[in-house]
Amino acid sequence: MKYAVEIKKLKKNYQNFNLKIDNLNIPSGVVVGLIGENGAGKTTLIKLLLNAINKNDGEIKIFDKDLKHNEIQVKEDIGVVLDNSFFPETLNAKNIDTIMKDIYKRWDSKLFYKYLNDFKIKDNQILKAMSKGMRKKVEIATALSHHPKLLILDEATSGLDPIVRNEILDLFFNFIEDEEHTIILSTHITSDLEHIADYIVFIDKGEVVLEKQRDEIIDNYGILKCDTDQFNKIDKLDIVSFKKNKYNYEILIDDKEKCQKKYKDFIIDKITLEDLMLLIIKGGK
Amino acid sequence: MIGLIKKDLLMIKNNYKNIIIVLAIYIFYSFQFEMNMYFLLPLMGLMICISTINYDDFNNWHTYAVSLPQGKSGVIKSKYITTISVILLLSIFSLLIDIIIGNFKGDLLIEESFGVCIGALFAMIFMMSILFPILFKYGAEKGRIAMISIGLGIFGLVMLVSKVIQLEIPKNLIIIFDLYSPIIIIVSSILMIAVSYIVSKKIYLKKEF
Repeated sequence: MKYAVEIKKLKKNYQNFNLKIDNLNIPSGVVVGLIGENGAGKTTLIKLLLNAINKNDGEIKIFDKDLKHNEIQVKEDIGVVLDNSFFPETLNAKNIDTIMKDIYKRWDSKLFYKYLNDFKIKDNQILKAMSKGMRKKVEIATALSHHPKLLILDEATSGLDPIVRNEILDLFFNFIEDEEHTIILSTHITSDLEHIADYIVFIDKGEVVLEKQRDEIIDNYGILKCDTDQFNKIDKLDIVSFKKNKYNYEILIDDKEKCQKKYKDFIIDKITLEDLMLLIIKGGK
Repeated sequence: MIGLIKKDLLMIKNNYKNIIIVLAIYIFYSFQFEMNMYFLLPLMGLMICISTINYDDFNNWHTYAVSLPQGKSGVIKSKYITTISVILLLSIFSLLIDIIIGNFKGDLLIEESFGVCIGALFAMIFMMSILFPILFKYGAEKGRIAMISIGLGIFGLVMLVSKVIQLEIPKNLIIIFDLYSPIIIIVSSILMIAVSYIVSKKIYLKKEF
């Protein structure tokens, strides 16, 4: 299998927080959703992938090339949309095209203007005068216009209305039609990932706590709901985590089929990524 | 890297109104008074280039910039090239204006004009070499405080030393400087830029965004 990103024994230490990823391989041609609460380490991981921060230890390979020693070559293949970091606001889209022509070897002005046209964005309007949605669209057009193979998106759809979010997700669908293209998408809006992501990487307290295919999660994981008496009868090995509510228990299980047979009188609900996050982070074991 | 230089130049272009105002003041003073204002245009160039660093900080540009293929080294290199080019161009421009006005007024002293222009250029390069590592280390906000503190510190130190020790420059040294001043200025400018660039790059490579 070809990997877009390979991470081995990665460590980044801060005073109050450590990121530690022993092994994480992201295959080419997939959409990977990075989930986790604020401060879990998603942005730290993204910044490490971009060499914006220095790692303490470990190895990062992108398209089989060591990031540290092949930075220019590797970054030619990466398109980036970051949360709250882009060109200065006094510049306009036309300026961005002028600049990017000399940044990326494969910068495609025609494609950039096509995106602007599709998004109905005037090329002479400065970023400061644009709405948040328009600005995000310019950022995405910029990230896509040098024909990258890997898109790294940090909160690219946050703060946008559902219509703009859908337009942007459609763009990502188009991008991923090419089997060599990969997207790493970090977002709080887990419903977006339920639509688009193939893989889910769940980071909590600086460590990868779950790394699975989205369908595997949706098909196998579930929430078993029961009262205290029923809860006491459940085999503790079947419980991934649980949350005690006022009147019932919500138990996260990772083998729905087995549990459906084993606990016939129990209600097992489908899981959403949001439920999964909540139960793993806030739930007990 | 050319793209990053273009980005700074496009930002500077947005300051064209300030450039025109300073240019008008410069021409007016040159016509009206017997005074040298050579430093004015290159100083404004330096200030505008520093303002691009402030504006980069304000817009969180750095994280995005270092994610581009040129990386952290490219950001530093482009900032130095842009600033030196702007200072150099505005110094040449000052000289040209002075030659034109001097010719017009009939009081042109080309050697003196050239000497003062080189001196102004050297002063700006000295300022840039000191300021840039501070700005890259502390960012625009803290950097401004650090700049003022260091400036006052140097000024205070010079005043103190000159009061305590009555420094007299040896005559031989003045003769040597007179003879070789262009070479001394060029070599020391290159050295200052090189040291400043190396320090800034080291700071920026360590910096996290």
